[in-house]
Amino acid sequence: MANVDIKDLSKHFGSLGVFDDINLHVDDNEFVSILGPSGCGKTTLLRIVAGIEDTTAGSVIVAGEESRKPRPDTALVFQNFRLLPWRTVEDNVAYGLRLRGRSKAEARSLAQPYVMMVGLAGREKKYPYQLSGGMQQRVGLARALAVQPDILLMDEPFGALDAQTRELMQDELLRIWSADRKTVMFVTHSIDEAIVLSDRVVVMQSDPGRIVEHIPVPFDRPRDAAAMRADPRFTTLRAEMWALLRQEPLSSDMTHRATGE
Amino acid sequence: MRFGFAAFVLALWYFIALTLGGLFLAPPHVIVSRLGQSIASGEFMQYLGPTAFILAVGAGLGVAVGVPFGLLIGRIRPLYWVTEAPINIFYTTPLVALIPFLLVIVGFNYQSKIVIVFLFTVLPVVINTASGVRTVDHDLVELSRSFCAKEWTVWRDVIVPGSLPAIMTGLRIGLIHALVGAVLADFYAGASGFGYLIILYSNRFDITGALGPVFVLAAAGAAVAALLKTAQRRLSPWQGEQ
Ligand SMILES: Nc1ncnc2c1ncn2[C@@H]1O[C@H](COP(=O)(O)OP(=O)(O)OP(=O)(O)O)[C@@H](O)[C@H]1O
Ligand SMILES: [Mg+2]
Repeated sequence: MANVDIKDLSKHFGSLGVFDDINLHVDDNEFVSILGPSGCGKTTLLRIVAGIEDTTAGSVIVAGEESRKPRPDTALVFQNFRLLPWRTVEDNVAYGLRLRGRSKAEARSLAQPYVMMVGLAGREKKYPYQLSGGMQQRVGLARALAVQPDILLMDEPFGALDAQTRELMQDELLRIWSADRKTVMFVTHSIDEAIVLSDRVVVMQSDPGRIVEHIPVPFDRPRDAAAMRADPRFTTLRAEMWALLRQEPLSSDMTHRATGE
Repeated sequence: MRFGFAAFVLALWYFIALTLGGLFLAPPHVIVSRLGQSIASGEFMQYLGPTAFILAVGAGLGVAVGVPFGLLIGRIRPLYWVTEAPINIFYTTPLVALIPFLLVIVGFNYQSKIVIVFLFTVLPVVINTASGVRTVDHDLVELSRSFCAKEWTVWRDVIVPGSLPAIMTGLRIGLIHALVGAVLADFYAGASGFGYLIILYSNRFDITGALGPVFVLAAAGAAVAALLKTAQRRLSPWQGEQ
């Protein structure tokens, strides 16, 4: 059972409280998006679930075990890509597989479909410095997908992509996820993206970081993103989320940072 | 640009040599022909041999000890904290001043020369390697960790490649210091070696003769630097053209 159970979770950096008493349950094979303003603690939350950040209070149970360190059945897509500059595209995509004990040749051949999937076929031998930001982001995405984790943690994985590539990648992710269901926690700033992809959208607000609403997305799968966007239910959901996000005054992020010390 | 500058220096040299007369500064072609004679007579090799030996052993040890030690203190924070001050003090001390003490302690023999070359090499290697490790992008270490990498894998995949450019810089400086150290060791411990050859000529006020070996030293330094630069480019293609 690859579920995630977050109970009364608090995280403070010194005197800065990021969030207090967060509760969130993500079911096995559920796709949950986390939507919220900058600085509300989305990245911090994912990092804690991934086992690379410690908690201040509360607990995170991943697949039945307390999450204290990285687990082999989860993979995290970082907001800031994090490619090894000294490895080529294919070796970066294969890197997770290598760390999971595959031989070099084996890892490369297993990685190849994922290189293709993110549209980087023909660039296997390039180094990260030879790629655009959007391409680098797709390498980071492919690296996490390639290890076929039970639990996929994605931190704004499409943030650096142009609108068109972004929609292509959303379709691709929908396709992968339909073919091979996983438990997904997907952080995004985009309301549309959250609706198109998820079973449920968790809306957060900041200062202090907290979950204000869980909104189920009632569309059947497999989904057709274009048809969804034309659906009146989509418009309603969109308006609902917009309203929740807008309760956040625009400047709160600034004041939060300024008074956070 | 570079060749233009070299030509300019050469022209200036000829100008000074010809106006002041050969006693102070011989024209380059005279120096080279003297060097040729010295090589032909076997004298050059006789003095070069022992120095090449202490250089190889001393610098080899310096690199073999300096790189791992630098990696360790760069990665292990308490170790860095303890060693930082002593290393800096040691590095600031002119090592030349320590040579007489070393000779007294170790003796006037080739072992003490090896120790001198070792000390000249090891410090820049350690300092550059450690600072390379400390500037490795911590995000990448964390990336490795997020895929459950073990500590040694993190070293192999992130820390060593990430500090490679700094290690190469350390080697470049260390090996050039090694050349200086070897000649200084010959100066002090005397009676053999390349540095001693320079002293022999100088004592006879034979500046033309002394400048030959100095030329060779300078060329060796330039060759070491160029070689390591090429190696660095080969070893780190990810940095692009620089
Ligand atoms: N290592 C850290 N040390 C101190 N403060 C931190 C650290 N990491 C994050 N923070 C603070 O915690 C808060 C939440 O950061 P986090 O990165 O989780 O936000 P986010 O919701 O992911 O924002 P964004 O949408 O901009 O990525 C911010 O105020 C940030 O300054
Ligand atoms: Mg973030």
